[in-house]
Amino acid sequence: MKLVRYEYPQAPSTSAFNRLFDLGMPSAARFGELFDDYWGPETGSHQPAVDLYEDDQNFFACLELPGVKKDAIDLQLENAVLTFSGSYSEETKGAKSDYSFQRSISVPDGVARDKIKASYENGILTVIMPKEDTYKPRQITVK
Amino acid sequence: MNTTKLDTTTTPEQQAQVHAWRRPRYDVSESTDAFDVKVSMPGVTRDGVTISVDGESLSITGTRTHEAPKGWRPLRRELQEGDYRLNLRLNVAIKEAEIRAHVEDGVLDLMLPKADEVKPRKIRVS
Repeated sequence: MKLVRYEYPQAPSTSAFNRLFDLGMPSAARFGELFDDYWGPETGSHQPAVDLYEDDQNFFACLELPGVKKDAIDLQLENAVLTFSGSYSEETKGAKSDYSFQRSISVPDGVARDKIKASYENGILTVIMPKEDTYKPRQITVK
Repeated sequence: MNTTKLDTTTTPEQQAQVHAWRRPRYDVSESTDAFDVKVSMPGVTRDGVTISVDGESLSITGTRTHEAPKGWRPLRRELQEGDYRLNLRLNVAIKEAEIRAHVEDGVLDLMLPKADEVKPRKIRVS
């Protein structure tokens, strides 16, 4: 049983520090990201940015994952949390660097969980979360 | 006599379309005979990349093909908008004709071979 119903997907930052700066800033400039930019990927695991959209039929999530191979992307849905993660290494002459990323979004009520689909193209991962019929907007005719 | 007429002519710079550019993240690594530049450009395909070398400056632009379809209503926006542009200054002579570029998974991989005169040379003791 859930005490709070979620009508929209949400994407909190994973780091507590960034979360502090995200409070009350639901969209546009994510302040927390400033610190990621400043310290760069050295702060450990990279947290990719995510865009969330909806239309009448679906919710959408778009993530930028440049340089990541399709097979290295791991999507896991647990309860109402969809987690994108992966680790990959890049080998350039003599030097090997390891990268990893993780990001979670909350999947709102009314999403057909077994119909969630994802596609990856040109470094952008797009996740489609279809709404259940009862949650789709509908027109009510006046008799 | 002073005129108070407002000058409304615009300069050509103002008339030009304001284009939102986004500076991509990039890495440069060096080997003995080449520089390897990796530029992150998610959403850009092979056809969207232009690379030009003009004297000392190397400019790279990437046009995104990925746009959110019209009917999508944004709920949360974190990704930056706009196409990519990166200008790098080349302080080492390179073989312009032999630049190789390759785009995969949103990353542009540029190989800039060094000109022969700047390559390290072994000098044999005779």
